[in-house]
Amino acid sequence: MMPASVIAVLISAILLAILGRHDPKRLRNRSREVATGMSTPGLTRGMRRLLGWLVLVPGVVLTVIDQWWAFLIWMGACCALGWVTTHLLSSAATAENAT
Amino acid sequence: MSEAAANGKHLRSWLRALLAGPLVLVAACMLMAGGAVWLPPGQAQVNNLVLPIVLFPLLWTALFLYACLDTRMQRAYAVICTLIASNAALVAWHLFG
Amino acid sequence: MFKLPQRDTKTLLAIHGWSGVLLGLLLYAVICTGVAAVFASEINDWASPLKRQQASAAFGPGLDAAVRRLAKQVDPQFHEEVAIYGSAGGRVMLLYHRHETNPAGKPSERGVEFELDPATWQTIATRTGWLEDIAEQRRASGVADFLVNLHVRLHIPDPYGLLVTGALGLAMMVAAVTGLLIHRHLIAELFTLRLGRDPVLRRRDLHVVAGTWNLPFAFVLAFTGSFFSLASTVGIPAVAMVKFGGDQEALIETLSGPPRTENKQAAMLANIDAIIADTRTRSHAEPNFVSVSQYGRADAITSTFTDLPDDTLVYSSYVYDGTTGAFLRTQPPFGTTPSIGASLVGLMYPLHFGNFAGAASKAVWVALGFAAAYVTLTGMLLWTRRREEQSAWRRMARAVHYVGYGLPLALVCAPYAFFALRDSKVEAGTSQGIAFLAVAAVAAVVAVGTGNLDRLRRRLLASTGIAMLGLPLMRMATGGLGWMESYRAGIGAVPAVDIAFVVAALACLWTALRHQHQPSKGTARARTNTTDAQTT
Repeated sequence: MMPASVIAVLISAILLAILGRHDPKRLRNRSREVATGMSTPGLTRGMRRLLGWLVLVPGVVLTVIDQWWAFLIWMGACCALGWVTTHLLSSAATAENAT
Repeated sequence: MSEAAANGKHLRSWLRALLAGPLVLVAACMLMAGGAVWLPPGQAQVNNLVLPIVLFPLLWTALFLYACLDTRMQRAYAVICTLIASNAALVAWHLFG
Repeated sequence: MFKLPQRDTKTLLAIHGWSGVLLGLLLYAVICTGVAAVFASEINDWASPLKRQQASAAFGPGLDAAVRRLAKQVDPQFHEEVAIYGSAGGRVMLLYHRHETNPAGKPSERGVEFELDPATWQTIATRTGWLEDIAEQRRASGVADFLVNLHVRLHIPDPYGLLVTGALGLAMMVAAVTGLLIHRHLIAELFTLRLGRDPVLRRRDLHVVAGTWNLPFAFVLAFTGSFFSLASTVGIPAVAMVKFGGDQEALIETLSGPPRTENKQAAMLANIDAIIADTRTRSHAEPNFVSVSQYGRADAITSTFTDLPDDTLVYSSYVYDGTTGAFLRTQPPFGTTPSIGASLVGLMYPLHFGNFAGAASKAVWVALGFAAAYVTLTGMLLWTRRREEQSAWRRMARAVHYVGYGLPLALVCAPYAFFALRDSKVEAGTSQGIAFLAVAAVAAVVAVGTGNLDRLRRRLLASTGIAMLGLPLMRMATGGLGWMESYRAGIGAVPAVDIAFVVAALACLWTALRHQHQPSKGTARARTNTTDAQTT
């Protein structure tokens, strides 16, 4: 159970981090990019949709192979890590703006 | 706003609160009680006893949101009261029929 | 995400806001205590460990002999049922009891409870009376019992406490559903946190982002929580009235499966140790509860319950002939054969408690519970901040700060009384209740006397951090195990919970002391200063 849930959470967490880093609305709100002209390259809409669906794939795999504990842990961890990722990305952007 | 219009709005608010509050609660309870009568018991003979209790929170939430959102208050009252009356009749028939 | 007519959106927003602000403070208390209650067994092991090598199994060899020895010491009327279960620090409880109607007219249990040390099977404590009285007399599980009682019924007597928490669960469901429906850009704003802007916008984003990520579990926890509260207070009486003429015991007996044909002839009980060993083999899981009905009679039944086996989400019990020890059947939560109803009820437990996979699932549930508390608190702060021109809402904002940051402080301070009065005659619940209320009263005075709300937040957070740092020291100073002793005894919960408190304390202190981020725009700063001046 543990290896399956760890792998699933890792995969989804990485994809969430990528999605968050390249989120268009988050990027638009970064005032520093406007000031300096530096920007994080955005992803195309199609790529974002693909990555969004890929985030869910580990969970689907876990249900198919009847790993229900791992599925619940994956789902909860994704929600928690998504929230944490959003905070970390925003804090980093705010720190950049302050300097 | 004229006084009559203000009074009318006040009355509608109270009627909406009565519907979404006590009446929806009674309807959810009656649906739960009625469900124990008409739901099939299943092979284990417990589904009709357990499912209404399990689904009660969903029943109440759905009825509450419906009562708040239906723009036509008369229709909302008709729906909720019909649910209460029909399930009350079903329970009465089961107990005394 | 959902394009609704503007009128509907306004109505849903009003429902979302008012349900949150009217019930939010109580809901916040239920959620906070629920977060702590996830680790109830670890907290109990931390607070009241037995000072010896931890047994790997809850019910080791010798249990059968202890059950027979103690059965001879109790009135045979209490042989109607024997409940055997684990408790704080690995203790084993034996409750010999009968089912009766208590003086308040409600179905209850009355009997004798023995608290045993499973290393020696010696009796540590004995308690008698109604189950409610026995529960109050328990000392070892006092810390978690106080938290769980606050979570389940807000320490309000049954059935009113359960009705209140049930209503709060329904309110949380309404808030979750309406929150989903009113948020038009759910996916687009998943990662949008505008921390550097207008304070109201910042609070809005903090609330919305936390709420969005927590949405699935908010719904699950609200649904399962309201089920647990309302099933016994509303559901069972209603269904019993319709199907069994109001006889709730008859309903519960039907759900449990057909009773055995009565046979009052005396008969020896089958060996419980052997039955437990058989359960371990069948279930590949550790038994955590044993029930013997009609002890000493030919119609005795022994039922065992286990931790959830690997990747199972619905529990089963194992039923044995109480005199021969023969295995009779595997029983689902209700009825004698699997059913949708039984499976749904069985699912409620792992989904609500999050304890199906040990520390891993508990950690995730704590994180999500913390997020739910955060959503509730930020929602109330946002609501009151948006209406800060009105004095009534400014007072509400102060109340939100008081409860939001004062409740954790009071909860952390309650165990100080437990440790200080551990060896006294004062009941654990009473001492902790007094400590909780006393700290709450002091925090109320601080809340009224501190003009600036941000300063109030920092003071309460810092106090909570300091209280958390002191708890492990208080525990050790009042006779608790040190880390080396715990290590030698194989009791991991003691250092683990100590470390958790230290980490949480540092987080509280860091949050209290860090420089509040200032908005980058001048207008926003001016607005913040004006708001602070108004609340002074």
